[in-house]
Amino acid sequence: MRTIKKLVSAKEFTLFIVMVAIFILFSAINKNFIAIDNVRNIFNSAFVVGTIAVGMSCLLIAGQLDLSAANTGMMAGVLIALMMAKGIPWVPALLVILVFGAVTGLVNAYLVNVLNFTAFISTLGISTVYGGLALVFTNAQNVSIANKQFWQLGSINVFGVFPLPFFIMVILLIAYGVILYVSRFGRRIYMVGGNPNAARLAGVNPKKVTTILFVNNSVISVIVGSLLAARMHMGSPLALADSDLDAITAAVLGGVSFTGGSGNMAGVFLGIMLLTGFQNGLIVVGLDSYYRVVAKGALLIAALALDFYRERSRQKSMLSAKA
Amino acid sequence: MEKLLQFCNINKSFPGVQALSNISFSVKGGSVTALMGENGAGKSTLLKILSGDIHPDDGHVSIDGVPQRFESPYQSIKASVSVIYQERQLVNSMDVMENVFFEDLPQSKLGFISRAELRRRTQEIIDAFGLPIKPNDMVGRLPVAYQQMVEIMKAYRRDSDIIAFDEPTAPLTDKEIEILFKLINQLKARGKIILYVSHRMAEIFKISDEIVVLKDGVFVNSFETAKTNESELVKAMVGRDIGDTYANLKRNENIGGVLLDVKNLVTKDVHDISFQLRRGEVLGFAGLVGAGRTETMRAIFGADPIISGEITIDGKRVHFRSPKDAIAHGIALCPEDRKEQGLVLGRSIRDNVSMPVLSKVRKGPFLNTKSEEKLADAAIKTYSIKTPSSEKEAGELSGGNQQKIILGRWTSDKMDTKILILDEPTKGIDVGTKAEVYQMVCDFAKLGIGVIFISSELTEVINVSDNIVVMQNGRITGTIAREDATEESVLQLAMHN
Repeated sequence: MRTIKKLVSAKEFTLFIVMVAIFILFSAINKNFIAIDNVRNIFNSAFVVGTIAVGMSCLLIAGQLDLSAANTGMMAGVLIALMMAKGIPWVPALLVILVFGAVTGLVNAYLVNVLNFTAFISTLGISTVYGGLALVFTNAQNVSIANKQFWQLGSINVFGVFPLPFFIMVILLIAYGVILYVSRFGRRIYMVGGNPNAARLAGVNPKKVTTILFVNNSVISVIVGSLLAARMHMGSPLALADSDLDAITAAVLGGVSFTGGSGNMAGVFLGIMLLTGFQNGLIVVGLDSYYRVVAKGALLIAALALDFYRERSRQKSMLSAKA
Repeated sequence: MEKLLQFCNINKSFPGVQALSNISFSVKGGSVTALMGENGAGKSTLLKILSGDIHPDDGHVSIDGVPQRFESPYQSIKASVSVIYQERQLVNSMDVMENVFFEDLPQSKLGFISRAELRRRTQEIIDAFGLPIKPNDMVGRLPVAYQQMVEIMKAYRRDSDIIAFDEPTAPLTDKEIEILFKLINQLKARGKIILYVSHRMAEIFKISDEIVVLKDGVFVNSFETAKTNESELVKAMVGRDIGDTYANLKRNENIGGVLLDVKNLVTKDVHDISFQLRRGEVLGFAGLVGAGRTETMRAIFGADPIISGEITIDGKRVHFRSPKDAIAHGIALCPEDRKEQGLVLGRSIRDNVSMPVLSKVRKGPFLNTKSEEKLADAAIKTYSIKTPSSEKEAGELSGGNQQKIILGRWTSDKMDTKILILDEPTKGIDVGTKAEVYQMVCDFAKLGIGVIFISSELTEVINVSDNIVVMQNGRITGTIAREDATEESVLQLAMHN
């Protein structure tokens, strides 16, 4: 009984109910919303924002953020396409890309931890640099990829059902969910995000924690960028645009605190599915694409407002229970 | 007409506590009324109601017989009330004059802020205070004591009829305290109503005319300062006679060999620091605020960089690059600012207690929640922390209980604490709990722990410690044994030139 009560009072539960309600509404308007093909479609499109949201959520919980995630991923796609066009096989190309991701993360961490920039500014700078470099390298043209073996990475189905990218997203969500919930490193992420000074004086190294998370996020981003390039058969300097902002939206929808210290992967998963399902649903019910952007923003604000009122009524009921 | 401020049947409850119940008393103009009581007695809540920051559930404040309903702090200011909070309400990135004239910046006819006028009027106030600061000094760059004085200037400038001070002297040195008291006496002579909240007995007797004592949100009694004494007040505050706290302390009699030896330590804040701490010794650190005691300890703890000097523990040279290293060598630090430096307020008691020993409460790669809980429950039991469970967020507990969480963290059976540094452990803690803390300090010493006890309260640092190191201006100016220490001798070392 207590477990049920705890479950119902959890932040994630409200989110889940909202999600189910929205999905039922979409299905009522157009049955195709829950057709197998469309569900697979949702899974497929969830992966870009969803996978980035995993690393981003960890950073947000630790009190940081990374606005260079999308362009780092985009750069990865462009670089891997360029390397393969030069005749480098895809495996070593991919390894180079992973190193590129790790270095990007280290640069972000250096700017934040050593030069004391705020993450917002430093990652915005890196993002802009990469955006420009990609245009220079490609002359603003898409770079096509001919290697069919590499294409497989973006389209192969695991267990015959789940597209590989979606599968990777789910594995990462579970892995990081476990890390946050039961590992020492996960606990340190929460403590650093909650109060870096107190964490440091209790023997935690906040700079180490955030450095690992910046590297982690950039590496996840280059994996996303590479898989997307494989799926699209090209590296595009316009790929992944704004997907880091969408990842932040999904994380915050899922209950991750923008100021750090709280959130979990179950919530993030719901946030991802709600955001992608909602976007997809609007297409299925035939809403004009410009309105979809408006609706996405409105969804975020509505979710936060709902959370505010829930918290306020919780505090009120605590008061009246006492009196 | 003589001014009159009345609190009429004020009730206020927060989740889980009745902060104030039926508080009624009145304060006359031209006198200083001190508000005393233990922590949680409701003094701050009462001031927040006066300032319009929070609203009473029931009852009201009335000024000159007219009932007031303050919906916001702005309305309270307009009704000629100024409340100076313990936590400074200043904008650090703005200069002194902008802060002082914050909500009433003088404007020229065109609607621009008139800088010259602003500067002239601010300078007048600074002169009245007699402080060596300039109107265009950035507030964030001033020493804390001057920041506090800027806060007081703000209230002075408004020329409010009612001025309330919440622990105004905490960050001040004796010089500013003198200035403050002179000002308060001037304001009093001009018929203002002054409310003064403080834990410091000596000050209360020096500045107040009347004393109102609250306990657990209830009005206990009011006293005429000239006709009461310290023990009568303490009795009213605690509800019992606490007797001679210090004489009843059960101290450690067996002080062992040298545990910590610091030689010629230099950092950017302190110079040439040398001292020794023995096993089972309580070593007091006295001095004025800003004397460099906290900075010395932070350097020893690996939290701030060391420029030169040697630290030896148990005869072995050590060099800590981070607090983590220091903790591994058995040093623990309870910082002065519990909320900012000590605890992660949004996390549970359990998380806060187990933070430094996560690698000792695991099963393989995973955390073992059960043994974490055991650790937290032990802390709750040992220090009688008032909480329904170890899952409660640290931020929801009172200051004294938060202090106990930090003590619980460093003295759990997974820790091997040899040196315990307590930085102002009784700050903001009520009289009853203070006595508890003193005994805890002695109990730690009995376990063979070397305890460093930093305190700005002379009486307590002299009476609790075995030896007292006195610091001034980043240097050690002397070390005195308890038997030889008097408040005068310590104060002289703390202020000598």
